[in-house]
Amino acid sequence: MAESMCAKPPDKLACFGIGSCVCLALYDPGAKVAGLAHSMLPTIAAALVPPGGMGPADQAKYADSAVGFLVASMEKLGASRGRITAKLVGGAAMFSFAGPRTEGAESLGERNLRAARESLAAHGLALQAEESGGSAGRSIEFDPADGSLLVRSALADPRWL
Amino acid sequence: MRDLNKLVSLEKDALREIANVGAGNAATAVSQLIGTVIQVDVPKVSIIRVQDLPLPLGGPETVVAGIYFKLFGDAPGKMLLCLSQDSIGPVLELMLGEKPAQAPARLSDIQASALKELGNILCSAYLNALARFMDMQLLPSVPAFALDMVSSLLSTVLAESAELHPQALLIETQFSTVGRPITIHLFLIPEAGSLNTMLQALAEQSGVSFDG
Repeated sequence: MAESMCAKPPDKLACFGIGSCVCLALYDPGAKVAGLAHSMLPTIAAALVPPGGMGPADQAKYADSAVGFLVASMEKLGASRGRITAKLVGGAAMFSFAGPRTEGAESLGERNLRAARESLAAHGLALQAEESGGSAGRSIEFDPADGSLLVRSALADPRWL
Repeated sequence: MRDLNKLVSLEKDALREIANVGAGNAATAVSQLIGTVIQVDVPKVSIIRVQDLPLPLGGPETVVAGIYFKLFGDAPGKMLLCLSQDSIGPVLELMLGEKPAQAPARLSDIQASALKELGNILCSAYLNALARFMDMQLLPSVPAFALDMVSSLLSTVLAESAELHPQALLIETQFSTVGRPITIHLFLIPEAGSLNTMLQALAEQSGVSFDG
């Protein structure tokens, strides 16, 4: 969790048990470079920014900073920013408490998704597909050979994204 | 705010003692509810980075029944109870008198409700003992229930703490029964500010000072 990874074929990437976190899956079909970031939170609180700036783990931990960081890591493996497309998985509300929901309150999952979408748009990356929200946890497998993304959950059938 | 890294071993012992008192009371209550002897393991106190999930019940995708409480009062925090999937059938059989069909992939409302009730009793008994021991008020929310991968549940609970603090204090206790494969894992996650309150209350009770 709160990590990012990049890979080229024949390696594959995977992320298990995603709840309210968002997983950002970026792919450059030309260079066959895939990148995955597993972010827990939408954005860093000002009080938590370390004096020396955010390190790699911190950048992946937050959905807004994860996009730029992941793109830069992929570029080191030969990816080209202009070809990269994005898929987004996660942002579920795992627990719901009985009773009326607070008016206008967004769940952490929804806030994570919003931060990720906004950051993708700010970096000019196209959001190709999304498997998000709901109340079920997810796991994903991401194959750099063709950019295919398999989404699994505990109770539903696996789905290709 | 207190630096969690500087928690000395005496303080960890004190927290373990708090957990023992809570767990002992909870075990008694659950044992009466389901009519079997409940064993309590020695509680584990650890300070983790919020992204380093403990996985006591198998791999990250192990399906568990999670019962989640927000804790209010003098020492706010969170409590998550996890029942291993093998435990669900025996627990429901003991509580409802009927064996659920096979390994339960989905639970009926009444089954989920029974597990929430088990959670309620366990959580309340635990908190009552803590509150008496530390002479403070602790109140649980209503329970929230989910049957899902353990990592998706725990990471969600920890992420909510992570917005305020990069580390979390985790107090874990495992309950099990002899003869039946029932395992319940309890995670108590006090808010960073609650740690001081708890240690202070203990110091007043015991006369030991935890200046660390």
